[in-house]
Amino acid sequence: MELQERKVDRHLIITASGRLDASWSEFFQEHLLQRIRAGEHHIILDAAALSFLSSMGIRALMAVYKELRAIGGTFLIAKSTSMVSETLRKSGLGQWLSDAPLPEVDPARKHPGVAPVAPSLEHFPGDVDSGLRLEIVDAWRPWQPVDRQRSRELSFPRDGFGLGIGGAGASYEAARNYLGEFVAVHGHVAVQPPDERGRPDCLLSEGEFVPSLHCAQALFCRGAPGHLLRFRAADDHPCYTVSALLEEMFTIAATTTIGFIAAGEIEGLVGAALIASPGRLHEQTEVGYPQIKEWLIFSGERVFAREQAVIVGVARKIPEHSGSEENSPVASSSSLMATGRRSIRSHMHAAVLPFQMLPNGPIASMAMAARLFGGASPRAVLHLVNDDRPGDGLGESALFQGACWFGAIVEGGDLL
Amino acid sequence: MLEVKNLSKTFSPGTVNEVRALQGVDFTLAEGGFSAIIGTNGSGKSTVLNAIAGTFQPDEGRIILDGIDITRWPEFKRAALIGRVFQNPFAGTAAEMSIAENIVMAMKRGRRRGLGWAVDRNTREEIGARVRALKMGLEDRLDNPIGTLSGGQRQALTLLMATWLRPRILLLDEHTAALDPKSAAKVAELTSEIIARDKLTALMVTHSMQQAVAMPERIIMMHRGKIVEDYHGEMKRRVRIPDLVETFNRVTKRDLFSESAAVMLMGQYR
Ligand SMILES: Nc1ncnc2c1ncn2[C@@H]1O[C@H](COP(=O)(O)OP(=O)(O)OP(=O)(O)O)[C@@H](O)[C@H]1O
Ligand SMILES: [Mg+2]
Repeated sequence: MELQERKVDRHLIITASGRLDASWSEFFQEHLLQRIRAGEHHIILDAAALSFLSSMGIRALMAVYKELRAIGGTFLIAKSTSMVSETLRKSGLGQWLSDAPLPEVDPARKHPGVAPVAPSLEHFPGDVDSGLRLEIVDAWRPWQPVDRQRSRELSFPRDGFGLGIGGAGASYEAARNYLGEFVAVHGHVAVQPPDERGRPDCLLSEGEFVPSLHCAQALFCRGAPGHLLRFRAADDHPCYTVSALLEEMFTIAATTTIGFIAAGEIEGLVGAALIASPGRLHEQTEVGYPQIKEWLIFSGERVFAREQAVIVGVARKIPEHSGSEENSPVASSSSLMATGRRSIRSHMHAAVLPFQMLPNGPIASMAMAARLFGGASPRAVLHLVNDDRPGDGLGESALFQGACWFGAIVEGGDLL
Repeated sequence: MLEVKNLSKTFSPGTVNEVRALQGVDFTLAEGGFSAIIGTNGSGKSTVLNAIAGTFQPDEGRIILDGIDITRWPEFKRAALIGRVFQNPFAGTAAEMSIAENIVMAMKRGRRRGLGWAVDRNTREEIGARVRALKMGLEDRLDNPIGTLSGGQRQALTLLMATWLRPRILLLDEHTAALDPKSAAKVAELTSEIIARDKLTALMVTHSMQQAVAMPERIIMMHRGKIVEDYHGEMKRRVRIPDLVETFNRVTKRDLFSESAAVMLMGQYR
C-alpha cells in the first residue's frame, strides 16, 4: 500500500494505492489519525487505485470516520473502483462514497497546495469587555500549618474557572485530611486526592448541584474569558511552552493580569502533586529534604506526552521598566511563581485527560469543558512548575496544539 | 496464617556495602491465601522469604506462624512447617538419587532420621499416584536418577516434594524463571492447582507480571526494602498489567526526587 497526499483548500486528498487489508489497515489508520491530530479535518480518500478492501480495512476507515465526525470534520471516498464501492455499500457505508469531482487547485493561486492547515496562531476576540473577577483563598503557605480561620468553602459554578488546593467534605474538619490540587472549569471540578495511588475525583455541576470544596488555597475567576487563541505547532515552532502561550495572551489582552484556561495535546508536563494533605501539617512539622518526599510527588521527567491537558491558571506580567524582578513587589509577596520568562509569573494546575481531538476554529470554553471532562475521567491533576535547575532541569510544560481562553482580571487582581 | 511484623534487616551495617534490605515490612497472610511479591531487582523480595524460612535473624520485627512466634527458631526447626521452591531447578533435589528416593527424603523432612530409604509398597503406590497427577509422564521413571530429567520436570517434582507434607506455608522464589516458556506455564499451572487443592497458604516471588495478575489473589509490591503497594480483594481482581507498570513507574520515579529537585519545588510551591 502506498499513500500520497495533497492539500486543496481545506481538504486533504489522500491517494491510496494497493490493498487495504489486515497487513496495512493499522498503518493506514495510524497515518490518517495522525493527520487528523495535525489539524486535517476534511479528508477525501482518492480510491481510484485501491484494489481491495477487507473488513479490517473497513474497520480502519470506520475509526477515521468516527474521529472526524466527533469534531465536525468530513470524510469522503472518491473515484473508487466498483469492487470497493460494492464492499462499502454492502457494509451499509455507501454514504461515504462521493461522485463529485475532486476539488481542484485553483491555477490562479501562486503556491498551490502549500497553504498551511491553519495559521499556527489564530485569535478570536469575544466579549472582551466583561473581564474576570478574581476570588482568592489564601489560607496556606507551604510548609506551614493551614490557617483554619482563612480557609473557606468555595463553590464552583459554571460561570467561572480556577485552581487551588481543597477537598470535599461536610466541614473543614471532614475535609482537612483530603486537601489536594484541583482545577475547576465551568462547573467541572477535578481534584487530586493527596495520596500517591489516588485517581482524581470528578465533581460536576448539574441542575441544582454546584460542586464545592473546602479550600486552603484558591484562585477562582468569575466571568467569561473574553479571548480565544488557537495554536498549533508548525515546522518552525515544534511546540508551545506555557510561558510562550502566556506571552501571546498578554500581547492580545494588553493587560498585566489574566486568568486563563489552556486545553491541548501535551508535549510534556513538568509538575508535582501533594501526596499528603497540608491539613496534617502542624507547628512542629519540619519539611525540608528528604521529608518533602512524604508530602509531594514530583513528575521527575516530562510526562503525559500525547495526552490532553486542561491547564487553568492566573498570570501576571511584570512591566519591563519596573526594575529587577527581585525588587518588584509582585515577585516577593505574590502567590505567583516563576515561569520560563522572567517577566511572567503564574500559578497553574493541569488536569490530564485521554487525548481527544477538538474541532478547529472558534470553540467555546464551556463546550470544551463539557466535551473533555464529560468523556473520560482525569488521570491526574498537577501543580505545574518551571524546573530551571541548571544542567538537569526539565524546563516548562508545553503543548503541541490546542486553545487558550483568557481574559483580563479586572477585580481582585491587586490582592495576588 | 502468617504474620510478618515490622521486619527490618540491614546487611553489612556500618560498611560501604551496607544494604538496608528490609525496612519495616509488615503484612499478614490469611489462612489458605495465595499471594505474590513483585518488585524491582534488589527490592528485598528474596530477603523476605529468607527471613520467613530462617536463613538469617532479622534486626527487628517478628514472624508469627499460626500464632506461634518463630522469629528465634533456627532454620532446621522451621523446615518441618515450611515448603520452599527456588529458581534453580537443581537446588531442591539430589541429582544422583532417583525420583522415588528424592520424594521419600522429602516425606521424612523434619522427622527423626534413621528410618532408612527403603520404600514400601503402599508408599510406592502413593508416590506413583501423585507423580502421575503431575501429568508429565514421570510415573514410569520413578527409579531413574532425577539428574536425567529436564528443568521443568525437576521443578514440578520439587514442587510436589515441597508440598508433600502440606506445609503451613509454601514459599516460591521465582520458581519458574529459569524454565523455558512452555515449562514455566506448566509449572505455574501445577502451582495454582496444588495450592488450591491443598488449600495452602503460599507466598510467591515472581518477575512475571502476567503470573502476578493471573495466579494469586493478592499482589504485594516492594521497592527498596519496603512494601509500596498491596493489591487485594476487589482491587486485585481489577488490576491489569498496565496498572502494575504504571505503579512501578510511579514508585521508581520517587528516586528521581533528588535534593536539587526538592530545592526547586520548595521555591515553586506557594
Ligand atoms: N545475605 C546477604 N548478604 C548481603 N547482602 C544481601 C544478602 N541478601 C540480600 N542482600 C542484599 O539485599 C538486597 C535485597 O536483596 P534480595 O535478594 O532480597 O532482592 P530481590 O528483591 O529478591 O531481587 P531480585 O529480583 O534480583 O531477586 C540486595 O541489595 C542484596 O544485594
Ligand atoms: Mg530475589
